[in-house]
Amino acid sequence: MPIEFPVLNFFALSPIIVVIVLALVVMFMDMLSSDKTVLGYLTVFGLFGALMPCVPLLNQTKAPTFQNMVVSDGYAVVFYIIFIVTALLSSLIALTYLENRGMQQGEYYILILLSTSGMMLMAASTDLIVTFLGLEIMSIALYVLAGFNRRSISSGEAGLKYFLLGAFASAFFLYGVAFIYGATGSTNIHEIGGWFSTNEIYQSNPIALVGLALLIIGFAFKVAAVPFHWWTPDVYHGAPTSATAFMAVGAKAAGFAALVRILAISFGGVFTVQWQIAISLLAVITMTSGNIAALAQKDVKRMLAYSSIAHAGYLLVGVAALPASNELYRVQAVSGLLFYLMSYAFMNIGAFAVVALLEKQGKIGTKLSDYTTLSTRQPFVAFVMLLFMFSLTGIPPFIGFWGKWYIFWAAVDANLGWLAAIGMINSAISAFYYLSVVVQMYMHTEQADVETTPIALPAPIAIAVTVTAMFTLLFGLWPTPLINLMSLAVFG
Amino acid sequence: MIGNWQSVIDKQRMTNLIWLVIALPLAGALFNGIFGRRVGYQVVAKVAPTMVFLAFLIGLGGAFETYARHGKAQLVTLWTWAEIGELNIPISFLVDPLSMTMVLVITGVGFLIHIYATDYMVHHHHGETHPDRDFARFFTFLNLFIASMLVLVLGDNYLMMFIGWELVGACSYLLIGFWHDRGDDPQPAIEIEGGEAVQVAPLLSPAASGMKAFVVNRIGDVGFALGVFLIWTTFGTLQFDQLFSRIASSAEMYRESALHGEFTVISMIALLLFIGAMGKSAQIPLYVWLPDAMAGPTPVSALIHAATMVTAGIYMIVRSNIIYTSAPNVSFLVAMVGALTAFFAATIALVQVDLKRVLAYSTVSQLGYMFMAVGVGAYTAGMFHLVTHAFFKACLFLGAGSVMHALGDVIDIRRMGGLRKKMPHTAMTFYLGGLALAGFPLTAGFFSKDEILAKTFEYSPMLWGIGIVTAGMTAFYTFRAIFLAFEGEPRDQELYDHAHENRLAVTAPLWILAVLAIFGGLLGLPAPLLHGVGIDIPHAMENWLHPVIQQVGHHEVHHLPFITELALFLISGFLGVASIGLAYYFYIVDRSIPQNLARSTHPIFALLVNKYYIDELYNTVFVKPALTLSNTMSRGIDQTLIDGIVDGSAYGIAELGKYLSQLQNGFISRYALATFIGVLFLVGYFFLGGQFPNWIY
Amino acid sequence: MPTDYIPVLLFLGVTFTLSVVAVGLPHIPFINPLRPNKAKSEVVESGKLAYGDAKRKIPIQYYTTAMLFILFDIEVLFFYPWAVVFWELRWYGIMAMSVFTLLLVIGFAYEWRKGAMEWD
Repeated sequence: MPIEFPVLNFFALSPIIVVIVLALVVMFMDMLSSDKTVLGYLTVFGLFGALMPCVPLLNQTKAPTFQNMVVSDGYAVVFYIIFIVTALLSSLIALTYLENRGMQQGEYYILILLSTSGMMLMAASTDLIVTFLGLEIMSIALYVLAGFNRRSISSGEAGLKYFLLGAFASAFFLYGVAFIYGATGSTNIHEIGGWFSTNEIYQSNPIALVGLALLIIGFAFKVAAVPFHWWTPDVYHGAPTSATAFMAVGAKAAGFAALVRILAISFGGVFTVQWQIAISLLAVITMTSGNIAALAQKDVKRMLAYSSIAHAGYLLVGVAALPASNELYRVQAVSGLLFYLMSYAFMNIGAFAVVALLEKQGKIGTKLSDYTTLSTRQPFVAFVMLLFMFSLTGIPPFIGFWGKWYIFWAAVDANLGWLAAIGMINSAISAFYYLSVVVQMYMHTEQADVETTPIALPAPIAIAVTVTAMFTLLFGLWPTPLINLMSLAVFG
Repeated sequence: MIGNWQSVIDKQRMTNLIWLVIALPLAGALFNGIFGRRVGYQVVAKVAPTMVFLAFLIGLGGAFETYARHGKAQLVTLWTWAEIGELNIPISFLVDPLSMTMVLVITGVGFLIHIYATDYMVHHHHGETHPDRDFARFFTFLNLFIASMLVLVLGDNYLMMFIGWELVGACSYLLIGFWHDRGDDPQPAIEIEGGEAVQVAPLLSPAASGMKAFVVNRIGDVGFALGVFLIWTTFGTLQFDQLFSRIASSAEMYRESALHGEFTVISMIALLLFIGAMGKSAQIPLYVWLPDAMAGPTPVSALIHAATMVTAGIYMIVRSNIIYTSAPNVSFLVAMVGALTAFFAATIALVQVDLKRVLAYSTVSQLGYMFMAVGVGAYTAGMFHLVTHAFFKACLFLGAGSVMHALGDVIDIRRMGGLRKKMPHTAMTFYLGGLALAGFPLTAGFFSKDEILAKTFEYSPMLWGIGIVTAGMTAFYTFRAIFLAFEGEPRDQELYDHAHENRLAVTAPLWILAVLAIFGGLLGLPAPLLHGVGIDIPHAMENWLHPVIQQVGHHEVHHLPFITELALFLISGFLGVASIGLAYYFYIVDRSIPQNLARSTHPIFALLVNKYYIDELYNTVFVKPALTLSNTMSRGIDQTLIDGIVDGSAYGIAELGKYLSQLQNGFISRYALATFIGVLFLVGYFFLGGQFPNWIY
Repeated sequence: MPTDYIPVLLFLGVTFTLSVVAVGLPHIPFINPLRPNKAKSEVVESGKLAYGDAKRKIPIQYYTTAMLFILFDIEVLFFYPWAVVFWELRWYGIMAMSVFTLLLVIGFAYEWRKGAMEWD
């Protein structure tokens, strides 16, 4: 019996392959080199290399490859870009952050790269099994990253917590895959969608419905949606700040990448009412409880953790807008989501970079009170932090405003005006805690007993905050190129 | 103007809003449960009654519109809740005269009791006010109960009825055990002059009482659930309209075969459902929980264990009237059980020394009357008595609570006496309620009880005999309690000196209920009798409920001869007055008579005081063997599991809020649990069809 | 439609019954009379009497070795299907397996270099 060799389009997956090869190279270098900082720079430059093939891929034919298991369509490629940028910026932070804490080790960058490859696989996957593979590649690396600071109890605790609850969530996801396979006989998301459209009598199949519910739960955990968010504050707070920045943006984006693709393709024509309502409700409670909890925080790092829950809620509004009445609205919803994720990458990583800069050994320096007089001690950093906080609140003309604009607009188009309204109320609430940071930095300079020593600004962090602040402001003033890029993100 | 009014009615505005009747108290419960502690008791005390009052107004509108469409039933469907293959259960509400009657009783009496409770749950000491420690929790449960009870009566299928049935049981449990930190209450023995004292068993602690109520109710619930399953497997639907029309088409046949000694499937269904009713409505042999349920706060006793929840069994049978009409054999059993319970409970009530327990046994007894009525096919009479009973029994319970409040929680009538001078409003309303309960001529209780007795006489003079004797005893024990509490010399001077009349929030509901207890009889004037003397006033209740009661076959409606009706009317009226007179003679004129009687009939007296030792019997036969068995079984089971379950159910919903807010505490097991609860919600939501009503958009 | 799931229901029922029976049987005194004695309540693990405290620290090398074993054990499993269809796959298979082996070797080298296999 002759074996038919599948046609493998390696070029379609070249960004992922570059990232994996880069991880292997860093691993190899780690064995030989004793200067671990070099590995960080190698990672940063290597990631630029991974960005290269993304440009031609955007104009390539968008056929699934590897036996219809992955596809590098516009949607996937835009996500590649988001992940690579996220990994790049957070590696820049890590260069300084790890060095200052004596944890500069090659494994950190290897894990970042492997995790990134998992995220990219999730975005490209058109098969639930591959999605799970990506999910695990991403997650296992993140578990280690969360516990990377071996000398800190809270970091170890974060790693263990993330691992245990993450395994819990992975099980739900896998269980959902099993249910859906049981109902439809396939794990390919196109085939699942096709099966439902040809077998209309099974469109109320409770097995498939429960499977869908479990899939949503699996992703809801990864994107830190309430009530599956419990790990988030502890893990984000305990993990090294550079890793927190990476996972807050990357893991969230990866979760949404897979969730949106599966919902749009497999469940775009079936159960839409059900999951739209479920996602809407998740969005409401996620936004609201994230924001309300963030209000009470006295620690900026923990506050950003809760705010990241709230942002997951805004993003879920975009997901709920997917079953819009016409194709145009659907594309708007998807590109709005991507725009939001990209903008979130810039402003959130920027904010975490500032937190990482101010953080001292042993979790000192992340309190809100530690930000007092920052405007005199380090005016540049205080200024960029101000940009990030305004942008996270969603004040024009920063990039965060446009992210919310597109998402809420998509919700209105999908007849979810009430959801958009709740979202807007929530972003108004979030202003309180974001602006309280600004108040701390700028308005309490007159007190006598506060610290006045200037803070040094190492080059990598300086680059990171400059770049992110630049994008935050630039795309805030002129969002068109970015939204044009996002509108290329169509399913293949 | 009339035209406009008619068009408003035609649009069925209130009927379509009927879900709000449930949603409002539920919202109140949520608000009080989540924010109750933070906003302070005064806000709670305003929110909770307001919600019930708004529900009452909507119920009033719904009833009005039902009247305007001549009692035609209307379905209000919210959304399809469970659609699993053929089992298609929409969340829809049935708005018809029966459900509207129940809604008005529940929300109306419920509102008055809420008002009453806002003051009852506050202690006044020397000008200072101390709300109960768990004021908010109390109103959370009370509102939750109202919502659950409304689910029970408004659901248009047996599944919703069952869910309501379970929910009210849970609320009842939570409220009986409200003061869960109190222990057993030992009772002093009853001294008899020149005779041996009779020992009285200690009152169960609230927690144990709640548990007892829950467990006994569960036994009934099993029967009810089996009945619902049997309906589903036999008829393939749980919807009332579909089911009843299916049964009606062959009701005659079922009826005939049952009369020929066959035990049909309908009989089985009727029997199983009746087992549920026995538990919920405290009938022999499952009545034992109700007297102990008095351990709960008095507003709870009035609302749940007198006026509303315990009548759920009656409601269920009246709702299923076609089933019971098709099963005359089971109906006879219902009537028998009702009559026996009425008699049996009344004998116990004769000698109780605890004011609330006298009323509790009288509730059991009156429920027996209602079962007797529905058992003999007098569904309207049963509902009529349900309504009047709700008025006068709520009035009496609240009066007893008012006395308790004034005496610092003393409820033993041996320590009262002469309270009328100190508490004129309470005493006056108690008298009025007592007259209604005693069946004093022309009060509400008189008309409803007389109607039941007349219908029973038509069915079986033997049952009527039991009923009339019970009526005499009822009048006697009611006034025994009244005379002992409010008349004569104070027997505990210290208590008497501290007694005082309560505030307006307590006395106003008392007066409203007392007025209803007197004039509620206008709802059901004895039409045949009045017709006989040339007055044609319709029986309002019968006309109103007529569309709900389905006729089986075409047996002609025959009334008793006028002279018989009149005789029965006079006998029961006379008996009521005479028994009150007897009580007056015993407890006011010559107090040595009851003492002598107790001495000369000592064994019987002791038997009655100890409630025929039924509790002890159940303990020996059921509870102890079960405990032994479970102890043996649980030896190997992880103790923490059991602890977890017990703790979980003991703290209840109010603690859940606190618990959830503590979840972000760093303990990963809690996180996993919370995540899992979220999973259950989401999966459950999807599994149950995953849809919401259209109005959400 | 719901009838399709009756087997699932039956299966659940059987599972439940079996587990209840299995857990319950030893608690029935008639079947399992409870007469403990010293020898019976002794803890025996793998035919050996237990000694010392169960809560003691185990050298980390134990875990690393175990993990390495599982990793390579499972990864090497992929060689079997390759071996079965070795001739049919020809160069395609050889190329694919070379990449796979290369990845394994890099990982192995890394572990070696990091001292995962040193016992002190």
